[in-house]
Amino acid sequence: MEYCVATFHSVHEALHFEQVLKKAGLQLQLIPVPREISSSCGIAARFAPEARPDFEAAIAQHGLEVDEIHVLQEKPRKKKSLFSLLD
Amino acid sequence: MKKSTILLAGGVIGLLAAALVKFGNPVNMGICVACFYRDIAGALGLHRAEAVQYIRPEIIGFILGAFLIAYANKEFKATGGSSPLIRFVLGFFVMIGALVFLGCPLRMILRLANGDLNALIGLFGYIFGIWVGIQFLKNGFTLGRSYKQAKANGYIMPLIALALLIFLVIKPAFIYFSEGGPGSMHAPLALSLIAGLTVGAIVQRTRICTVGGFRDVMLIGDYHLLTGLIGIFLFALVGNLVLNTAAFKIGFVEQPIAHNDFIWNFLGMTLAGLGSVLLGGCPLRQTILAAEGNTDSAVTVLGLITGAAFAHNFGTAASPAGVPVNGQIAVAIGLVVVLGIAGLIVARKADTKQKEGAVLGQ
Repeated sequence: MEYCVATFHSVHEALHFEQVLKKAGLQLQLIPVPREISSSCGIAARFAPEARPDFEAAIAQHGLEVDEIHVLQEKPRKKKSLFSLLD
Repeated sequence: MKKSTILLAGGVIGLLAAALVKFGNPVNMGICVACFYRDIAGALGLHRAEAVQYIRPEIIGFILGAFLIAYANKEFKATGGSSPLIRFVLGFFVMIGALVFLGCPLRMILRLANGDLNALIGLFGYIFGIWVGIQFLKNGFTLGRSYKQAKANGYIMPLIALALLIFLVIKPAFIYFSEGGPGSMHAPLALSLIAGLTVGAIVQRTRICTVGGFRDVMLIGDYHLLTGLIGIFLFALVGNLVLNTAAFKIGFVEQPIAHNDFIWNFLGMTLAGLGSVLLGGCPLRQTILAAEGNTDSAVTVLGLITGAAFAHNFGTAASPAGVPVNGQIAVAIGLVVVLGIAGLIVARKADTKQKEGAVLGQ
């Protein structure tokens, strides 16, 4: 499953992004920056790819500062547990 | 990354710390980023506290390990320009706070894993400092963005590490080595270096950070990095129980290289936590970022080293005897300066926003 991740130049911009866009009625979640994007340890915002146009419009409208928007692939969770190894 | 992976990654750090004590490092000081920079500052003659002078190979290892693995994965990037001088000052005072508590946040976890309950007071102070810092982040605190720089900027930190390694091996007359005290106690060079390289590589890959762990929980309810810290604690605890049984002692009194002044343990770590969360990473993490080419973090590391030199020259560092008055004053000044810097930035941000709003007619 694909999802979008917006990255920011500072933690404050991520918090500001969440505050403004949640008020605008958009669905998003703050997450640690995914390791595959960056080795930095900041905070990013995750949202659905279908909502990307709405996000881009809102970013422009509110003059929000975003570094980049990435499209990432959710890795399917391997259902491997200690018990399945015993099977 | 799975929960178990980060737990084990932290676990390796915890076990290595216990092993370094077994092989010669001072008790509860298998790894201490603040103490080790302090020892390096002493070895270079930046302070003359005779008991704490040694070029700690672990630090060299952190830098070179993180540099090599970042380089191999094409993550080495020279960046900078995000308020370097403010970062220097924050790094300086993080060190002042840490040396009043007697240890960086990583040593705080390691002290706790060996039964030193004073570290619990330090932990409360650290979390409180992070909480205060988060309030500033929420209200607009930022050190500004960084920019790409010429590659040469990024090579300076690894080259400094290499130069320190050469000094350590050839021992020139101008480098000071303690003959007694904690500075004289160390694991064999090769072991310390290999442990340092391993920790550097692990932290670069996993982004384990003592401030990030608590910040992510408080700010976005994410427990990933905190799991790494729990890994460090649990495995260091087991490592100490197995390898350093004689030194394991639960309590507040007569803990190795520690004092039991509650107020200053708390406030020292409040200053360290506040400074670190504003910097976006603890001293360990700053070291790793500096190795990846982040020159803002490299400036922060220079601030840490300078802070350590001043702490001993001005007599602000604590000792098992307690916290000197100079140390108490230094922590108070540090809190005022750091809160002042954060307050000024937040006030200016609010001011700009208001003006922008007026221009837009909002």
